[in-house]
Amino acid sequence: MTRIPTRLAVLSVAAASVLVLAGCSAGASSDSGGHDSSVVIGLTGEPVNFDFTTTSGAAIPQVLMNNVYQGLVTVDQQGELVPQLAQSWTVSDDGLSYDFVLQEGVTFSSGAEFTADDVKFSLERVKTDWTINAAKMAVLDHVEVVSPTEARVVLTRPSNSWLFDMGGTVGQMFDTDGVADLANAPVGTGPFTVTEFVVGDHISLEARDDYWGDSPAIDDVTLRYFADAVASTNAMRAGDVDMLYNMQAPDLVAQFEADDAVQVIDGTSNGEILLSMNNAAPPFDDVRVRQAVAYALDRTGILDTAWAGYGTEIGAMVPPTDPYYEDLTGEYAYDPQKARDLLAQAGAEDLSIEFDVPTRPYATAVSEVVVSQLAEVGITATINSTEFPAVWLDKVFAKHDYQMSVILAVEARDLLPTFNVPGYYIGYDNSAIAPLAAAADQAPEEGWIAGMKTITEQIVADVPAVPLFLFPNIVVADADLTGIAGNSVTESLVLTGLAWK
Amino acid sequence: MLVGRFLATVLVSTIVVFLLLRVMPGDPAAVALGIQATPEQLEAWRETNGLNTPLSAQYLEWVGGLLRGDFGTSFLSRQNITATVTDRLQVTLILVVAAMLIALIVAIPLGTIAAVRQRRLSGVLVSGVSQVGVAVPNFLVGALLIALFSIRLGWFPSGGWAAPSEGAEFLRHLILPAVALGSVQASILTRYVRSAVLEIMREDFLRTARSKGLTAARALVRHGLRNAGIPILTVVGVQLAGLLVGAVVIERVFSIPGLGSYLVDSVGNRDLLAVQAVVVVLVIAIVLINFVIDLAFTLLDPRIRRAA
Repeated sequence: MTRIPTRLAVLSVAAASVLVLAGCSAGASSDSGGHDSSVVIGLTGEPVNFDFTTTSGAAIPQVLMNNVYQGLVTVDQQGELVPQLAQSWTVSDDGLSYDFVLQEGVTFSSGAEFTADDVKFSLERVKTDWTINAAKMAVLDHVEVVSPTEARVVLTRPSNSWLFDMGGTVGQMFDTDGVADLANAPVGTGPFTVTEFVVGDHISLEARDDYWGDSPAIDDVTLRYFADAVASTNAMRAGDVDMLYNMQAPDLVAQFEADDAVQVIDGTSNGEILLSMNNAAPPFDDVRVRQAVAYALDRTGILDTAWAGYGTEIGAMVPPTDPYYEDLTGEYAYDPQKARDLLAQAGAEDLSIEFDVPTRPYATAVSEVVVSQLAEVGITATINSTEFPAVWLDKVFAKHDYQMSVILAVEARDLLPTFNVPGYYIGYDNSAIAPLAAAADQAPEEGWIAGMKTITEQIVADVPAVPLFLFPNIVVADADLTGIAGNSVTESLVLTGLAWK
Repeated sequence: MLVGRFLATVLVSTIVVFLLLRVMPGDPAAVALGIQATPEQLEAWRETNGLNTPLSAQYLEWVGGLLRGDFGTSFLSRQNITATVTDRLQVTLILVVAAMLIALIVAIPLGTIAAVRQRRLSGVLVSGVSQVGVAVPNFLVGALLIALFSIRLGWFPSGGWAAPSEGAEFLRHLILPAVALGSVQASILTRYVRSAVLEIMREDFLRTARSKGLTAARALVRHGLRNAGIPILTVVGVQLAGLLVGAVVIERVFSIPGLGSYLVDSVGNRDLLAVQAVVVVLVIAIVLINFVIDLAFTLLDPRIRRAA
């Protein structure tokens, strides 16, 4: 009977090694007390590369804007435009030229100095080389290099939206020698550089020693990407990440609400959950049918059921942080009888429609509530699960082969890009708003805001699509982490303010 | 003969995956450029990425690259696919082999006990537990392990991956997913070991071994297990091949950047060359596994060696 001791030995070796390995963790992942100067952030939706000039996806600017790249101006947490690489700017009386005075002593991570030549290079390059958002620079005529620290931007017509867009991706500054490999090697003036990208796992950022402004309190940031929301909350609960940003599973937030070691931030965003209808084809070419859909939906109920009450009710595709916001949530208040009446007037009782639902958690959650509410007024919506992005872009967006869909529109100030573009998949007839939009964009500020409000009201009256609610930017973080940019007012996740208590 | 069959399998798989991807709905250019791209930009993108040439030319160019060991450049990451696939394959292989080892270490003794003591409590117990184990999906095991060992006890990370060069960190990241993946395989394997051993115990040569004076246990270890090895190895081969892709579920639960995750992401992004690369690598890997299993048969059983 020599086998029993052997077996015991094997077991004890195995047990011992488990304990030793577990012991190794004590120093590494324990999150109580003594934080070092690094932060690990959990995210969903990984960038496919680092080139937001030719690759779509909000995940790319989320990492890079304000952190690796910077613009002349930026948008702060309240949605206001503030200086970044420009110290100040003046606008000519005709609204056509902007004189930017640049910060001095700014260098790129390559060591090259940032000058007005880079401003000219970066802005004019949007029109020639960019495939994403290039239209936002369409009003640019040219850039004059007045001196190394002064740049004059000349527009073809005055534009209120242009300066705001300069706080987004198209306004980011590139080194004239730094665009050779944008997909893999971003070079910017920001406080961080990318040190590592392990696709499918994480991106590492490191604070620059030679940053021109105030150095961030955090030296290293690791952005870990999770394919699965449950996996990300597990990592948070196990202390493997310090913060979850833009959480996509509100059901999983409740477990953190009662935990004192964790803070939960319900921030705002620019993302509207939009129930889109194909205005160019029956039955939604009839405004009464679209209005009936709007009356049939209890948007409070949808927000509570589908997204656990996180998020904000909106009446139009304009978030409260926009300057031309007005409260239109009272329009189309839930009224199923009115919906039935409108359907009867339109001769559309017992309507059956196809509902193309993209394969995204928010879409799946929202669509089931929408279907049951539509059924109450006699609209039978059949869910057609549509792979996102590949099939959805092809079928719904490019070919307009759909009746109803639902999508999260994440872009900032996307009212006009959604409804004032002929041939857009919603198929809205923009002839009424196009002249108003052109006039508003060129008007002085008060005229612009008044004009945009008029346009918003017109769109709400025509109800080409129903904005269901404003998507929340849910952040769950270690209670000791401060300086979290909880509002997602641009695509950027601003890391510069982060610090440990 | 063997090489010819291998090449034919790989060749057919390249044609099948190439054609399947070309008829799949969804436009790779639209996925890459997003909703604001103009038709001209989409067209220019297709031109740059070689999607405008005839299918036959695209196929030949791709296979030409394969022969040079070059899988091409990803549509989206703009990185060389060969490097990415090599990294991902390494991760998955480590995970799968670790899981399989755990399964074997558990299943061989337990299966044997279940067979030898089939009418005693311990044997029935092992048999019952393994039957339950077969029914439990591995992602559930993963979730339970995370809840206990990561969240409650804080012994192991809840996910992620560390390279083997990182030593203890590597092992800490490997253990939970390997156990989760291996546990279900262990249950299946235990059932096979049990039935293989039961079969062997009825054989004449075992009775002969007993009559030579060996104890029941010795006879089984010396003469029985080796003979039970053939059916067990067959199952192990099938399991290994299945796990290479099947590990994707555990890779997702533990956020591990393995080959299956890369395949799923690449299909979603319509990164055609990346999908093709992964499929070809999987086909080669599975053919190789079968080859190694065949070799192992001849080692275990001299009769097969002589016949070959």
